[in-house]
Amino acid sequence: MERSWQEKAECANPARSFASAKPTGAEKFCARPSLIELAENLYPQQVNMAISADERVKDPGRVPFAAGLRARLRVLEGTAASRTAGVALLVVILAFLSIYPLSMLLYGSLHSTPPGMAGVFNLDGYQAVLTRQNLVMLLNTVGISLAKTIPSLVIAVLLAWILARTDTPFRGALEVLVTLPFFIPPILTAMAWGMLGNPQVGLLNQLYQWATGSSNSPINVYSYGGVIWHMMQYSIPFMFLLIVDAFRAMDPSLEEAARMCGASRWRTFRTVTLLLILPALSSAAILSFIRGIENFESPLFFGSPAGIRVITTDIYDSINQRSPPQYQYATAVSFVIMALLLLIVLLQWKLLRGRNFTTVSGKGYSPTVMKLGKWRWATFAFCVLFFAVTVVLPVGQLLIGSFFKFFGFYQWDMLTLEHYRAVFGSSEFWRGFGNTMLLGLAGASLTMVLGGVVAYISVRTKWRGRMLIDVMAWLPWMMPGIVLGVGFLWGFALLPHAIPIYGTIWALLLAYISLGTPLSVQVMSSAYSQLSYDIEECSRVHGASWLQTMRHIMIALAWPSFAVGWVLVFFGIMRELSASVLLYSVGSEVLSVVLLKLWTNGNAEQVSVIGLMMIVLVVLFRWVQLKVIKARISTL
Amino acid sequence: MTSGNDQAERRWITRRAALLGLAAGSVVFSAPEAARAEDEWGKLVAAARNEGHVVLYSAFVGLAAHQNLKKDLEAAYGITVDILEARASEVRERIRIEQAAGRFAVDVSENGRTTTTLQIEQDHVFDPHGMLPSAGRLKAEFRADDIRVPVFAIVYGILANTRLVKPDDEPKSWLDLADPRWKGKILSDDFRALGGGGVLFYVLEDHYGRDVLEKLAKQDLKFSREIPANERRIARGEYPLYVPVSLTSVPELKGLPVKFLAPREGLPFIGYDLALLKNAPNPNAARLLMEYCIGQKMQQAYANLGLLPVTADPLSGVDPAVAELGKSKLLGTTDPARMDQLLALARQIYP
Amino acid sequence: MSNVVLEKVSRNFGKFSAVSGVDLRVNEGEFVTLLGPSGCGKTTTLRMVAGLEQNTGGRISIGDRVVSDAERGLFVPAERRALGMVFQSYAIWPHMTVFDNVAYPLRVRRTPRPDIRARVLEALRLVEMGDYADRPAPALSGGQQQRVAIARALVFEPALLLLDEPLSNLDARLRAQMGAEFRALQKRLQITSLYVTHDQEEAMALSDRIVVMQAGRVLQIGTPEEIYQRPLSQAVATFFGSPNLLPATVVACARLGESQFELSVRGSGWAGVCRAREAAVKDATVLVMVRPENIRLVDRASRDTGGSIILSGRVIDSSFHGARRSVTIDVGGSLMKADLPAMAPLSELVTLNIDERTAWALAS
Repeated sequence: MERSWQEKAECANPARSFASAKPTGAEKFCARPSLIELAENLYPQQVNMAISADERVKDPGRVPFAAGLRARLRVLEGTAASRTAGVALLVVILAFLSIYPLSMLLYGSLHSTPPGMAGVFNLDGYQAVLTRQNLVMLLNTVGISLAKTIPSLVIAVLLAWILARTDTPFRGALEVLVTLPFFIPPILTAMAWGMLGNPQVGLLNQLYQWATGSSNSPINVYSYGGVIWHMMQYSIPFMFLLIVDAFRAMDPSLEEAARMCGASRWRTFRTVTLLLILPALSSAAILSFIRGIENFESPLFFGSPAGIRVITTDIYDSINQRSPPQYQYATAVSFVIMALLLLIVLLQWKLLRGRNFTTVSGKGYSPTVMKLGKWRWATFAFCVLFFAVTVVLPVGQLLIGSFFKFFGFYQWDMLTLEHYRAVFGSSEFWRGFGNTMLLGLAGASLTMVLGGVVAYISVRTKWRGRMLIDVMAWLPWMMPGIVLGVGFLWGFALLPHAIPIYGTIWALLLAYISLGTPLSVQVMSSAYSQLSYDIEECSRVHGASWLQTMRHIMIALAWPSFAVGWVLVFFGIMRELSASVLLYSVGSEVLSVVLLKLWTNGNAEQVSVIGLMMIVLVVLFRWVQLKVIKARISTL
Repeated sequence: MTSGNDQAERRWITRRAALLGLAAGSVVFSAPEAARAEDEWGKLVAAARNEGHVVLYSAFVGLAAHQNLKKDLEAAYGITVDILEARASEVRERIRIEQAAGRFAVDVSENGRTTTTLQIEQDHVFDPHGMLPSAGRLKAEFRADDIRVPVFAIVYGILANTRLVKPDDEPKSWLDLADPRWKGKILSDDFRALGGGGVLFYVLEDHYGRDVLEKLAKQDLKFSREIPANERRIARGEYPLYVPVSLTSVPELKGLPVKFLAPREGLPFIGYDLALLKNAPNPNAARLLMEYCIGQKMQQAYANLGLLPVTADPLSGVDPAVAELGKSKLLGTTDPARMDQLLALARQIYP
Repeated sequence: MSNVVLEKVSRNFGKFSAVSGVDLRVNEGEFVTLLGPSGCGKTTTLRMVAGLEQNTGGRISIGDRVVSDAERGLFVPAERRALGMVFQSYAIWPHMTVFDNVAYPLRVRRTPRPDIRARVLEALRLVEMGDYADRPAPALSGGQQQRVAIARALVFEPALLLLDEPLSNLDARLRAQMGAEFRALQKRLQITSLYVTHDQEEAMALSDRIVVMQAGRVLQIGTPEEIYQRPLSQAVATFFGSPNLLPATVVACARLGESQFELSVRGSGWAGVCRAREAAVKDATVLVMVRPENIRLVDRASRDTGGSIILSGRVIDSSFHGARRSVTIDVGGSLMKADLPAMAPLSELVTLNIDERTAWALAS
């Protein structure tokens, strides 16, 4: 033991070392044989790189070395009492963010009138849901969502593999470009695709007719195909963002071993890589599927003209197109959907939570990149094609259109900068933009931190009640946004007046955090399930408290996922409308409300300008995010 | 929030105003009464200045005239106007829950007639506004009652692409839409939704009965709710006709090959009303605002945008094309009581 | 089994040379270790043999097949070289059972099902993991995973076995045990093995020959005894243990045999005889390497003068290491270390007796 203490002192003061620790610090610590010996002396069983979830982290609060007051204080931080207090606080926060608004909605579904009005409790809402018509509509909705999720997943995996594991040229730039479509406001891409793909004068059809001389219009974007195509614009980059880091962070020796066993690259990919990435894949797919069910803009824009009906437009109509608004029906339908989605999510958990696929160890490898030779130009072309179709085409339209008086009318005498002047000269715009940036920065950061904590507890501990916390964090995702916004409105308005939330910017912030937490939990869960336990244990063995470990090791190593999640949540906040329009007050107008005002007033062109500005912002953010990740990954 | 004194004073003023209203509405208008009325109004203006602030919730998202309103009230009376805009049902629900929760943050509501009527009947969130001096100048179709004050109306016509629709072929009547030559060529705001489409459906059904609409159903109408996009689609030639189009689009679409057609039967319209909220924090400023909105300046501003003014005042400086069309006959509007029924009918005829 | 031939193999990253000019021939059935500190290029060399990295210069042949030739642009990818490899992290796939892990290479080769079963179980028995066939891989300890990795590498009877620091993740006790077991297995199967490690004791215990590398170059190739007792350079000498290096001048040189010379040398305050690999001219300066365990300490008083190099000194420090005692001696200003049996008597003033056969001259 004497030698061990010496060695520990040699390894520098733990507090200091972790204050400045980059991931390399941890890796360097852990790769030394002496540490393994050290650790082996602490735990009766052999130290191993195994990833069995059962024995791990039973009691992260226990700190073995307790010398000096400092160490004793750290022990206190990690005691069972403080842990329970922390968990209790977390439960309270999550309950307020998710259970409270949902309980308002539940009341709404069981009561004939919304909160605050006299009425009776009955099950009329649920009875109205269970009709054959609704069943057909539900099948329709599910069908559309499946039809867009599966191809999107395939393409997203392909893109992720190309950009994370091959030597395709200009990967860095492509990665930023390929994810752009996600951040463009749907109404704009819908407008652009409407212009491109309508059967009467759509540009694509005209091109086809010019090329083949026929007078057919094969492309009609106002159809099931159009709805699905438009939804795919968003789900492909969305899933790409969730998957690519799993590819990037994988221990390459797992694939090299397969190749040494004689497996071709394709076989290696099929039997080893894909299966190891499965947790990330499945969680991305489920998230996307749920979003597909709750998608509103695409079916509204491209489906209504073709008579395609989905659940969300039905819910929207029942609130906004009936008098009195059918809150009971709308909330009842939402809960039925939520129950179904919860079943699916629980099923996925059951199948995959049991198997931990640690692919990132403390070994400090950077993933090898596969050399494709001539083929790398083919993959490059594929990515460029994807970018061209999903971004250049619609955004090009927006860009060009923004310089003309009217969208889509390219006449010399209509060239103008008036839209740019109008937007950037509008104080309302800048106010909204400033508010949104503020809310986005604060909201995204808080959401990711909350998500990180919940994900940690859910994935890496065996604490009782972690399932409850996880479910609570997930719930808001499964409720259609339109209805959830109403839940927040009711919930916050009915709080005691002493609590200053309703009517302030806090209402928006809390709503955004609630809406973003499911995504952040999912992103961080995937990241955590890929980290092996020895990294964490190494930190604990050196005496770092749970909080220090969280900050310096878990978040630092899961940093790429954290950054990706942050960007996704940030831009989700930027685009969020349903809750914003109900919760905003004078002085806390947000950008999405400004956009709504412009759109309903017929200012399609100004909306394009703002959309373009958002895209520039995205490119900036993503560039920064990737540069930061590159720096981190190369030191891993 | 406010001291008991203020509240008492407000209640006093409101009650006084109500009495005043009764007095003003009486057929016999004696001179001493008129003088007293003016005096009372002067007191109200002073109290409004004192309040210095008024909050309006509006269901007309992005109305440019709101900026005029803000500027004018600030300049003339030193009153800051805060306007919150959201869509009809959203505004309605916000007001309802705020009142139910005892949060009295808003003074005036601006919403479509249908929603306002339902609010009056079902939500009970408004107070009588007391007669406003300009109420007498309202047009016959737009009479105020003691709770709501009409402020403007949206009128609807047909939008035609001038390149695809020659002057001779232009529909001159609403019934012309059922002409087989327009089959599959009409883009329409959704008949089954509240908004222009619902209004048109109601008015047509009201005047011509169900068969016309069933004939229209055979015309393979394409429904779409994205109005700005729809207008541009017509301009681009995707469809030759679009119904119903609001007159407000005319100034905006200037320069595009489109034309606003006013069928001879007249134009359907939907009015917007102002109403005073219960427990309004700034009731005097609120009434001042309502009065100002039916004053000549604001009505002029509305007319400039292509909205139909509700007062019979002569207006100047309005775009002649818009003014001309604005003089068209009015075909009719919706009855809130039957709106739900008609929407259900629309869903039936256009599944 | 096959041999491996590396001819002038190098790997450059731009200007940086990770490996340069490696010439090596591994004979059939031989166990060769690449040994050196971190960054010396040993792992890169192994990976070039494996085909996971491509050499920028030189030629690699396995058996009588050239698998990589930089000049001719020939490169056989890893999956077609049919080599077994054990990784430092074992790379056991967590989503498969032990059986599936080991069966993988056979399934890739489309071996018939019954054959797979037989061969997998045999391979597992070979590494004494026969009972664990149906366990999910994550449930294994480090040592068990390593055995499975070995089984997987051997199951398809490869021509060559490559091992990248397979023992470094195990604790000391297990390391020694696994090392010995593996050596026994290798001898039994007579499988050509190329092994990488930074641990010199491990290398000496297991290998037939050792390749000492530093900064991308080969310093010396030889049997463990040769390298330990007759290093070619100071770098190689100091890599093993901590030898004493006495500066001296050559007085005379006599040939003893093939690559064996006897040098008479004189140092500061001492003179003696030592061995060398090459002839040296008079007045050349050399460093005479004397390993601590080869120094015989006697009390100054006893006039025991057996030994071809004799030094006097004063013991200033000693530490106890169980079987041996390590002693630091001040010899005329410089310090020397000696390793004695623990129970040997120790006085303060001592005479160091060094046998000439254990004194080895290195170029300075």
